[in-house]
Amino acid sequence: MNQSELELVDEQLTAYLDGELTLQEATALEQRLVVDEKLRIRLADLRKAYDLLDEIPETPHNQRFTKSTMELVIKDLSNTELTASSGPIRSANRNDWLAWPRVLFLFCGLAAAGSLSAFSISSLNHRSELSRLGLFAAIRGLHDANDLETAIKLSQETEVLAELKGRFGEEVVPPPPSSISERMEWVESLTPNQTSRLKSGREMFGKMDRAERARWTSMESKLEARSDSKQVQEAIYIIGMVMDSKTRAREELEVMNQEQRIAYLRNELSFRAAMHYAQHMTPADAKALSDWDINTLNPALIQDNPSPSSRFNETRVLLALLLMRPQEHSFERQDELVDELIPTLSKTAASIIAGISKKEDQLRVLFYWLFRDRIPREQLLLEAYENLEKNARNGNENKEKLDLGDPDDFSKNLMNMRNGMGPSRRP
Amino acid sequence: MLRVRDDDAMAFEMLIDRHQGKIQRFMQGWVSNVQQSEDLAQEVFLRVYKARKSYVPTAKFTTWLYRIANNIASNHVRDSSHRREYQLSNSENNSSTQLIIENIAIAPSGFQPSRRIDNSERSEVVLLALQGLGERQRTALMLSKFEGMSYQEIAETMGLGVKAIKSLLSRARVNLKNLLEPYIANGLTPGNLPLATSETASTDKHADKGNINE
Repeated sequence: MNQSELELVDEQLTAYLDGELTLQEATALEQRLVVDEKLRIRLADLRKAYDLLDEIPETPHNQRFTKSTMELVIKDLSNTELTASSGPIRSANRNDWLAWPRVLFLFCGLAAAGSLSAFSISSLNHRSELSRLGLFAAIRGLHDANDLETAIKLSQETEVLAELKGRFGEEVVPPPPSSISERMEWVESLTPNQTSRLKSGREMFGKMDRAERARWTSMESKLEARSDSKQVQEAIYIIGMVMDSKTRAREELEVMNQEQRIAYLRNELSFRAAMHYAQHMTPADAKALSDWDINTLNPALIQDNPSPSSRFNETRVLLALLLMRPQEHSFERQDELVDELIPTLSKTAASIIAGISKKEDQLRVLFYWLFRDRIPREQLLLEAYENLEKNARNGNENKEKLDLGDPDDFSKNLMNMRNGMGPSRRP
Repeated sequence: MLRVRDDDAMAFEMLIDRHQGKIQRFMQGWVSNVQQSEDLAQEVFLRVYKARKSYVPTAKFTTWLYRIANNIASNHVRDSSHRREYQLSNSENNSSTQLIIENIAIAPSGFQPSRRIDNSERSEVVLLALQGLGERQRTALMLSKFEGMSYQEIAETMGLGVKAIKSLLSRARVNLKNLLEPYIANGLTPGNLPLATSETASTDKHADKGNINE
């Protein structure tokens, strides 16, 4: 076999190994292989050498490589802009989203703030990314609301949302301007917390599949087309922030229909708003609450649970016990009690209480509001509780109505209040 | 890639994530150190980004990607500043590569060609053999092996005819076989490459020491 023939044979063998022969060619070659031992050895040697290439592993994935490559791209693009703008006539459009000084400013500023590592600012230098900033900021809340109608409905809870806006302060990402060119400046104006939220929304969006992304993008487009888009967007951001601390509740949301979801979210928003309102209650509301306590709540409690020593602190214990009791023992007049108070409260306080769906939970919040500046009396309350418990053991108390329960639970609830967590809620 | 073309930065990051390992391995076939292969891989992605608007989805994306990678690697080794360095490790007739491979195989064992070698040595030997091939043979072989490309796809990537690719790949396999002959002849095939046991590793260690002292 001469050199040329040998090369032809090698080509055939290689093509055979690569699966590039036709069926006929492969069959013909296989017939030759059966009878030709040298050919078989040649085939085996060629295969062995090729298989040894498996010894060169694929380079393992490295996030640093991705990051530094993105930075290289942005640096290169910035240099291009710099060159373009250094001539006698500046060619860069004023509205250019890639204006190099901004890029450099962002690059340095965010790096200094330590937020560059995960939220690659280079990514923002793209029109499509800039156009999605609103979605990145809203994605968690949108996910919680699940549909636009729910978000719109909840955005009408203006008093509650205003209270929560005060609670979350600068953590709330302001709605981005509609003009893409202004969004660069908008990004620059964000606080580190807001940038961090944007980053986390972007990551969440990045993990979604195509269909899911399309769904949220379409929802955001519909939202942006509304005249009240800013109000709804803000509501969505706040919903996301409230629910961020409630991972398990998010799982519950997954199985709820729209009506249940609205009720659930309204309740959660109102509860969080109530906790915040306790810290800066208006004097008028404090007085209304105190009057209600003296004139309505105390007499009702004492009447319902006659005690040989119906002293001030013990009525609180009774109320605490009432709130801790299983639902079947709920206080008969609790609906009336709350209803009597609500008209005397400010619009903010009344809206917050009205947003809480269960009367027993409304009472729980009022209990927290009443106790907000009396927490140091914890020791007195515990003593009063022990006193009541002693009376109950001696048969001097209506055990069915009081259901004294576990003193440790009572103590725990008081501790929670002292730590500013509010009264614990029944599951 | 269509999303990258439409300026979707997130898609570009995902593209880097997905292809970085393979592109870096492809570059290792061309340059001798890891840092260089990483730099060249970055250059590939930068070029992809710059050329994104010209991407037409008529062919497979990987065909387009490796066309860029191949151009960058090829230009790199032709660049005058790199030529000398490149020629030191890649002689035209493969004889120096053969020598290097044989040295790696024999030296530490004190003239025992069938000595047991560890994983990193094995990949080093194969990489050296790959680098010892001609540019086009090497590219065709890597696209075939690592990317699983068909002859048609390799032809499109390299801008050659299918017949030329068939011939290139055949010669590449034969040359690779010749370069790795010492290994194959001693039964060191992928299926039965003996791993270094603690006992043999210990023996090899002493042998290394002996050679250094000599």
